[in-house]
Amino acid sequence: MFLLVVCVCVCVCLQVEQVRLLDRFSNKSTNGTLYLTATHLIFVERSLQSDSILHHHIASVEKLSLTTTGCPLVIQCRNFRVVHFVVQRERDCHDIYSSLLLSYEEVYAFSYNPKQNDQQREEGWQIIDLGAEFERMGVPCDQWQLTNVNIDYKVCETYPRDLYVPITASKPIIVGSSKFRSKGRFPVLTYFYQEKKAAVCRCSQPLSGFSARCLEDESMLQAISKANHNSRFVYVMDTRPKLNALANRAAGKGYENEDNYSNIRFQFVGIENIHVMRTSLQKLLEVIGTRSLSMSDFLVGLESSGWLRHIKAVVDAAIFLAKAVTVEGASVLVHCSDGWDRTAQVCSLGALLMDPYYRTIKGFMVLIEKDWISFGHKFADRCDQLDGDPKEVSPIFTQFLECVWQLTEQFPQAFEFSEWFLLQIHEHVHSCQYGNFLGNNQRQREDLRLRERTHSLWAFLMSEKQNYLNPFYSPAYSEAHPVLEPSTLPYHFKFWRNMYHQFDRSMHPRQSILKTVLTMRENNRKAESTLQALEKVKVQRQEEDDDDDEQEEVGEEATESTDTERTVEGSSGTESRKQSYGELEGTYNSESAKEEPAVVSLEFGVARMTC
Amino acid sequence: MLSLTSSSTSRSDRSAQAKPPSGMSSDSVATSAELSPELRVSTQDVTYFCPFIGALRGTVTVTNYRLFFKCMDREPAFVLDLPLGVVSRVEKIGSASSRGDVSYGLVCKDIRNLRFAHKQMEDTLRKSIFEVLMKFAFPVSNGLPIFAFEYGQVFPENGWKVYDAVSEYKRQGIPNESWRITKVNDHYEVCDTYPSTLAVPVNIPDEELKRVAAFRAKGRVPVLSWIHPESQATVTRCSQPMVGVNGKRSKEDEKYLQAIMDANAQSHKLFIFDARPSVNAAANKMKGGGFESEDAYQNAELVFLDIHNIHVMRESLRKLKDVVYPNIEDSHWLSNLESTHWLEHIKLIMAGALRIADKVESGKTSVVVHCSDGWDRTAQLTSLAMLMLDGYYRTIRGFEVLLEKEWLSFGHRFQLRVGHGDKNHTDADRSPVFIQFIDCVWQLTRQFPAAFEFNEYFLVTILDHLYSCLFGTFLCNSEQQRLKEEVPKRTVSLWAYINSQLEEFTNPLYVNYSNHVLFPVVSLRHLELWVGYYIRWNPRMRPQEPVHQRYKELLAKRAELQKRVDELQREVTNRSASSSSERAGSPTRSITPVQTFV
Repeated sequence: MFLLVVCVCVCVCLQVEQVRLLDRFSNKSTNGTLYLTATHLIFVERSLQSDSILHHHIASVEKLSLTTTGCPLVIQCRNFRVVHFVVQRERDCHDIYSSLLLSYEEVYAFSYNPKQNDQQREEGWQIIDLGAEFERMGVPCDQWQLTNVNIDYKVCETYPRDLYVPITASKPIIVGSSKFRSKGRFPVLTYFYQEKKAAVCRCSQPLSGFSARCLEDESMLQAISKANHNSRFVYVMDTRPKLNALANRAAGKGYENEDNYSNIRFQFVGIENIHVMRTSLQKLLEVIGTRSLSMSDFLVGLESSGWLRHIKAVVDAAIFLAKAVTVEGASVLVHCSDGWDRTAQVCSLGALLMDPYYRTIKGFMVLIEKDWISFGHKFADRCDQLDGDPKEVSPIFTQFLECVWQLTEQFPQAFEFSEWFLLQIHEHVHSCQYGNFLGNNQRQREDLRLRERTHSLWAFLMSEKQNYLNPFYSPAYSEAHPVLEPSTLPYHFKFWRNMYHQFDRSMHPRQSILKTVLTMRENNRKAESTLQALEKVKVQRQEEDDDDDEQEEVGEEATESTDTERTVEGSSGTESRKQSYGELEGTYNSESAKEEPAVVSLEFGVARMTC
Repeated sequence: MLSLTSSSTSRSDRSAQAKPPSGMSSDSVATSAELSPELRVSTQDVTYFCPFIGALRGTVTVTNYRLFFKCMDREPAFVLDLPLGVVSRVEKIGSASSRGDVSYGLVCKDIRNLRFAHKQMEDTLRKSIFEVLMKFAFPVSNGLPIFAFEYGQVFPENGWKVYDAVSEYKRQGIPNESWRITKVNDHYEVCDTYPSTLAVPVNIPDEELKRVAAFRAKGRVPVLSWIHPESQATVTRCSQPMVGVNGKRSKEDEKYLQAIMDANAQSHKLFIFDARPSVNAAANKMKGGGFESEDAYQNAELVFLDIHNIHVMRESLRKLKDVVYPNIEDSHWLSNLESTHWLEHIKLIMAGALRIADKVESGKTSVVVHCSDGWDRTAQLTSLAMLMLDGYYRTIRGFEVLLEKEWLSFGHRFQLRVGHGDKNHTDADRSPVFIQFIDCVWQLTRQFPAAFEFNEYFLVTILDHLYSCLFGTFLCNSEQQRLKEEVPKRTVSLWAYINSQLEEFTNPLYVNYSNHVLFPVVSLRHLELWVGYYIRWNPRMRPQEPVHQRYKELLAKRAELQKRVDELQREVTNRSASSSSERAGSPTRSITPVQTFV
């Protein structure tokens, strides 16, 4: 905190005193000073507590009409934070407003420096190796090979360089097929289920129009089918609603005709497009942002936003995929329109259901790197990293993270990571602090020389791995249940409070089980070290060394008498306490209150960033 | 969702093992009051239409306590074990003249319906089963004793001793300089729905108390429920004043409320919480009831809490049952849930209780709580507020005391609200008031997972035995009736059963919290449907993985580590004692701190 203030002194561009920060859901407010730096907006309270917002997180700034107390300024952030300032003088308010609106020509990642040398930076980028990942799946093998057709991004510029295809797919077939697919995204392997030799492939929609055919594309699918001896057919999943696919035919695109392709089983799964998803999220945010919301409005609003229905649609599709592969042993080809939004969601979630590796911290990074980053999910456009087209913005990746969260709720023991890991990833997808999610595809990233100029998020997350561990994770459970079969009953899809109300402290749970368990583990760890210390003492004693000093040291961590004062938990209408959420949380266990591990402070400090 | 309880499957496993009258788990006939031969009918080839699995063929056994269905075709064998107390209605489906299958349905109080069928040729058999069901499911209507009176199981502890009014008041520090315990109601003459032991302000003599009783509906005078250990602010409960259309006043009642206010030196105000919506309270004036006017009661502030009456609640739960049982409609789940208004009612009750607790804790002001008769909404509010204010009630035994005190002794009319053994299923007196209260408690445990000694299974068990009629705890309408029926003498208390296997009901996350006051967030974003109760019959409700198992492991590890630390320390101490006996003082000093810190 102090560090932040010092840092501000160096690079502050604008400073406004006497600013009031209003709480979103109560009538509380705090006074402080607002600083604007090149990268952050920082609010320092009188008590010197500070809070900062990265410019990249700001989605919109709105100046409301002048009131008696000052000029209100509402800032909406991409991480679902909403900040409401009241600035005393209108001129100051306008200054802040206009400087926040200035577009910055460079993303934060290029100036962000976590004090690492080049070698550490390079090591950070090497943490994830997709070649090794395909090797882990058992590819290349006798049916699948690595092809170099795209080594110069000639065949498909939104795909990565290294692609895996059936051995029987020759170069002319690949090139022919790519010409028949939207944006040249021909069918390639994304996941290989070794046990049944079944493959999950992905591509974009065929340019079939009403009647067009392409023999190379047909033989490509044939090759995929042949590569799997367990099944006579291959599933083709079109993740769009049928109506959308039909409409695409008029534009010369469309879907595979079952008559032209031998041995395919065609299936629509009905996930809506990016525009529907964007509107749905907007509706959701509107509903939950209402100040005095009645129970009816909440439930009805939640339903009519359709958000949870869309989440369910994605999970349903992933379940279909996982079943087809693990139960029927069939290969599956997944596509949507361009094959970088819904296809990424379904392929990655399906793999997560099938393979326990992806449910570990490292594995989850690999999964995102593979299905999202390398296969060209357009992060720059979808997350609006540099003033792009608002029509291209859509919460597709957020949806994926939410699907994973819904699964962690159903299977608390199956995931190595906790909710905070997902929240942290979401935070940095939008922060532009690390290079991983910049740009729309690998080619752009190479052009930007991101590996040399920015740092990798994965290295940072790995260094903080301790903070993201799920204490309930049981590797034994994963071994016993390699394939997850989630329930899709409607009440299993819940509103993700910690995502959408992450920054509204009054909405946080009063006590968290996660935290209790973490504290417990920490205590056990300390008990173990006490034990070791004692054993050492014992050895010393055995050597007849004197004396009692040592022992006292061990016991020094001192008694705390259990306090008998009445303590108030939670908030009330009249809010009689001054404690912040964090302090309050600490009171739940008088034994461990003082020894709270640093780990858990993350829970409410996700947003706190180093300057 | 991180649930505190284990999976539903393991829960049913557990309850199957734990259910006291054992012997039914195998087909063999055991010897207990339940299974005397003349009370037992058994039939082969009955079809049970499970809404989730489909039709199952098996055998049905009906005793004077339960219906037991077993289907051997499946692996593992399908078993349905239903205490007849939960049956609210038995209906014949299909006429006897038609030649097809004839069936009958059981509508249950615990959010499920069951359907069975026989072949037509077995009609006489069906009749006999139907008759036996009608007879034993509704013993009260047939002039039979409720099964609790025949169930003679002996437990190591006598559950009826859990609550003793005098010692509970003593725990709260009563009598003190402003409150006394009175025996004026010893023979239930002042108020027949109140307990014999009451706590009232010191300066109100018993004679005056009787005059106050005349002004309160059913004679339910304001009496102490809870007193704040520090500020002496109190929670008192009563029924509505008999104001009537003419705005009648009672000097004694006004003086009485003034005495309650005076008993708390910290505040010169008194809050009267009327649980009803103001419209309903005003409408009650037509029937001679009403509410305190602020003119008549100086320094008192009246607040309406807008909680609806028993009929609205009954209707709400009925709708909820339609929504969740047997199948849930995927597309309109949330709006269907909304249309029941169930969560909205829960929210209002919790918000009311929170306001009461806040006034007492933060405002140091005494409160008077009432509704119409002061035995439904009032009981919900006072007991919830007390649960927030006093950590003792959040222990297992404390919760038992809370129920015995605020619900049972103060005359929540369990017999009427639940309709034990009564076939009149349309009775307007039935209402899920108590279920609602337990739901609110569950919501609290969700927000404060470490503050309660009991787990979800404890709450579900209480609700199950609310209907089962196995224990005497929830029989009758008042303390007086229970004494007249000799319930404590002739039946077993639910607490005897629960306290004999506490480990089943203990929350592993519990840390002693006795000095904390819980103020829950009653925001709708924190309230959720209690899936573990209302939707527990649905097998598609994926059992939660036992998260608490993991915590138990950690606890066990801690215990083990503690033991080793102790051992080592003893060893070290002994060694040093032998080596340097002159310093005998220091080792003992160093033992204690480590223990507290581990």
